Amino acid sequence: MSMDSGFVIAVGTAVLLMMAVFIIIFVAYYQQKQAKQQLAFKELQAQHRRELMEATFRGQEEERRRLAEDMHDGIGTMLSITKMSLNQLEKQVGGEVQVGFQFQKTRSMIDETMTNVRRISRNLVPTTLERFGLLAALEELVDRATDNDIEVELVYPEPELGFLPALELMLYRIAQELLNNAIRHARARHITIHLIRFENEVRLSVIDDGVGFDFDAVMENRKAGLGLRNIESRLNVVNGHVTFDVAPGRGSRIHVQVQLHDAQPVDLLS
Amino acid sequence: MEHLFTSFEEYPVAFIAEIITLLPLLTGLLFLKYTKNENKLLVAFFFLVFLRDISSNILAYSRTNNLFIYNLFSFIELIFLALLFYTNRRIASTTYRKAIIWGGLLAFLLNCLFYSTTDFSIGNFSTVRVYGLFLILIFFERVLAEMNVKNIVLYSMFWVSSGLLLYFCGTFFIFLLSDKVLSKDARPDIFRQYWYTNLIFYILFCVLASIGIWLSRYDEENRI
Repeated sequence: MSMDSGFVIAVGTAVLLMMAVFIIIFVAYYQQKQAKQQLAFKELQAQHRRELMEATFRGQEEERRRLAEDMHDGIGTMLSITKMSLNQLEKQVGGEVQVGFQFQKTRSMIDETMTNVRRISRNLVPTTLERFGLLAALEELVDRATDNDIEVELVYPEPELGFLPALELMLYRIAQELLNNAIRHARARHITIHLIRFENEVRLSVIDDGVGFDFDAVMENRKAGLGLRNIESRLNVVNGHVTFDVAPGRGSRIHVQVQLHDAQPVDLLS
Repeated sequence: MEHLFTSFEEYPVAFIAEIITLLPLLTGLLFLKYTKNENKLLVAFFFLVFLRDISSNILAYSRTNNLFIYNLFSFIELIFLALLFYTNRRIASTTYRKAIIWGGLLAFLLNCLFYSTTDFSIGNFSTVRVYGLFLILIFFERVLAEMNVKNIVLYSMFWVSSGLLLYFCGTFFIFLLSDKVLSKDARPDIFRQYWYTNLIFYILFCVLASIGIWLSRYDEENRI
């Protein structure tokens, strides 16, 4: 071997090795720097998305409250006045049987409309939730949903939950949506709502014996999956999770899980 | 048994290089359930290296030329490199994948042309190294462009690729001039000096590959 070969190998190898080491260090340094920036950006995006969701839900609740007040104060009051006027008119017109029957019919229609207005208004803003808390509101929801065909049960081991009002409203809305789905879409006969508080976690489960549904198909359908997506969006705000144990032809088990130390939703009730 | 491995007293570096092959192999087998596909390929490769070393030792003890085994093994190295980077999920682009296949086919063709049974084939070893360097650079470029790894220091293929890069760069010129330093006409001390240098870079590659195989368990959670 001539000296040249040894020199070429030594110099060539040294140059290549220096380049290799430089490439490795550059890739490691640059990638970590970029990854940190990207993670920070993604976190910012997620935060922004959460804030948008919070604002949307806040707006939704405010709009519901305004609508409920308008219905109660506006339509409700007008209906009461209409009923009073009708009573006055009946007295003035006199006592013909046929006319009396018409007055009675109109009065019962007004009563029914007033009941409906009160019901819609109560559904829009759960006053029981504001006054007596989540468990009372859920009890009321369960009572209203229970009839001769449908049996709804609420199970809660602890009578005192001590959640923030905003979290209570979120859980109430989710329970309302899931119960509604079980009755309307799954045609369930027996529904159980479990609400359990652990030290740092709350779990809400809605279990029914209905006909179930195809989760993927529902989520792909923009109109049909709106309620479920809404639940996911609400939970996103508080870093909560929902698990759908569902399939067509069998009862559904839907579990909602919220970490209490993460759950700091904005006050939607104010 | 003593014919299976090189004597430690006579050739300590060669002995260590043969034994160190077991490090990535055992690491892979130990953590097989966590090991991802590309790293399973790596484990299989080291198993073949181990078989190559044993068979070349057996031939050496029977005073038979064993260089053809190393030249033949360059074909396995080519296939291994192509599969390792082709199956890597970071290289998802069709253009890059096509480049891997066409580059691999070209390298394979060149290897066939350069193949020799009597001496170290400069062409075979240089082709493998050039192709390997090409793939590693593609891989690094993709990792930086796609940015789908949280922390590259915890990413298995980064360690494997770094090991390969150092190994190929460290041995490129040795094999390029192997007709002078690694041929049967080379002086024994010169041969030993460059052969040992090659083995030291191989040992480094084995250590880095073992780290990579061990880290492959974190690959899923390390994705962005």
